Amino acid sequence: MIRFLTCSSPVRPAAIDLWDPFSRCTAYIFNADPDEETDINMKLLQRAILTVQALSKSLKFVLLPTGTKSYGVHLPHVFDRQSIPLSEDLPRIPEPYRSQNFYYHLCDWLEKESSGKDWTWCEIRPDIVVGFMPNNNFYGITQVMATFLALYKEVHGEAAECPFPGNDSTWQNQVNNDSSQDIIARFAIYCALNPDICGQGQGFNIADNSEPSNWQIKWPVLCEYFGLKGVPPPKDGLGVKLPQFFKDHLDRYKDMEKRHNLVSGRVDNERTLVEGSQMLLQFLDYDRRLDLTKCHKVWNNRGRAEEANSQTAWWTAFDRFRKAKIIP
Amino acid sequence: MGNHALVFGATGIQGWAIVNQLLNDYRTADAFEHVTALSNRPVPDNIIWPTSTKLQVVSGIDLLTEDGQEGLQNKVKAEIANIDSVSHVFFTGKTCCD
Repeated sequence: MIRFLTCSSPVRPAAIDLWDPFSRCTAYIFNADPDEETDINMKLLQRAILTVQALSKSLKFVLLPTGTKSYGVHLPHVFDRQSIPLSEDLPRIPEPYRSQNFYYHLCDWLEKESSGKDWTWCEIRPDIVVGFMPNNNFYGITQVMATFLALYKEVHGEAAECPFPGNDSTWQNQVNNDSSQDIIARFAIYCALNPDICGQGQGFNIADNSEPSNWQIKWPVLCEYFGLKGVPPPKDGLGVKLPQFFKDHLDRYKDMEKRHNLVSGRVDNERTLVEGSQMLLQFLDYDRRLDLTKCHKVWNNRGRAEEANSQTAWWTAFDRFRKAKIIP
Repeated sequence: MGNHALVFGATGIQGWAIVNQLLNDYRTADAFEHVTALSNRPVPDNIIWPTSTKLQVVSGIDLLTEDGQEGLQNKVKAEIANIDSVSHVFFTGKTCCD
């Protein structure tokens, strides 16, 4: 997938340091070919569902996780900042982005395919997913934070102050609802087991807490797990440039991996760090809080809606990265 | 016949967690009789799921196989035990995260 950025400055894209906040460039990192993205994801879903339908007469439910791209949160120039808290009855985002959003295509297909059948389906929309992944994940903010903080402690020692590795605007203005993998998974299973109240193609926001969060609250919590003191970023620029930090201390990281017998391969690729976290730490500096009324209502119908806080979300994930020998 | 959960993309951030919860008996120990974790990529050793007799792990299933829909169905039928009892599909398989 080719990524490119559009820029209001006359500087050619190749010359721009994506981590330089002074480049005065609005960088939109998105897939240069959204049609291809749609085609691939449609094919994946169709192949999967058609296969199951052909081989099992017992199908009752299909659960499709999508996300808040359905609200255009990834399009700073399009996102309607008055539309918060984001609720499921908001209209689809405008063209040309509507046709480029593969979530809509997947949902439309499932709606058609399930019609007249014995199975039903629903769609769940988490926000930023926080959680453990056993494989290297280019886009995982949790893995980026876990490896960064482990290395920062290694380099600067316990109790060191660690500045938030994003910009001040994000620190001040980004508001969202973290969605830990456990809350998402439990709600997904709940929906699947209650097709009569959760099915029929409904969409549900799902996140950890109806109270949104921001980095001012979260950052000290993330740092505390590693015995570090989380502090704000500088007013201008970035306190830490993630790719540079990993590059500068790669030897220390490798040494840490060896000493602790860790699984390797997480930090060697700078591209991982640029694409995985840059959007979140620098360009999504606005309030995109979710309305969780719908999911809580349906979850309380036959169960008890669950919530979590930043510590539960992030520390659980960090514990898992530790258990999986990805961080010390 | 008990429920059979089929999780596509079981090594991904959400797929992993769904399998993990199912194997930890959410919502009840008997909610699902079978749990099949599907992955295109090989499942790594540090998968840290609890051990469970309910679990079947199948990797190397490429949904985009050039053998087409029929080829995929033949492979799935051959490699996934109890495929005919699949009752719940969790589709957490995507080309890239977003």
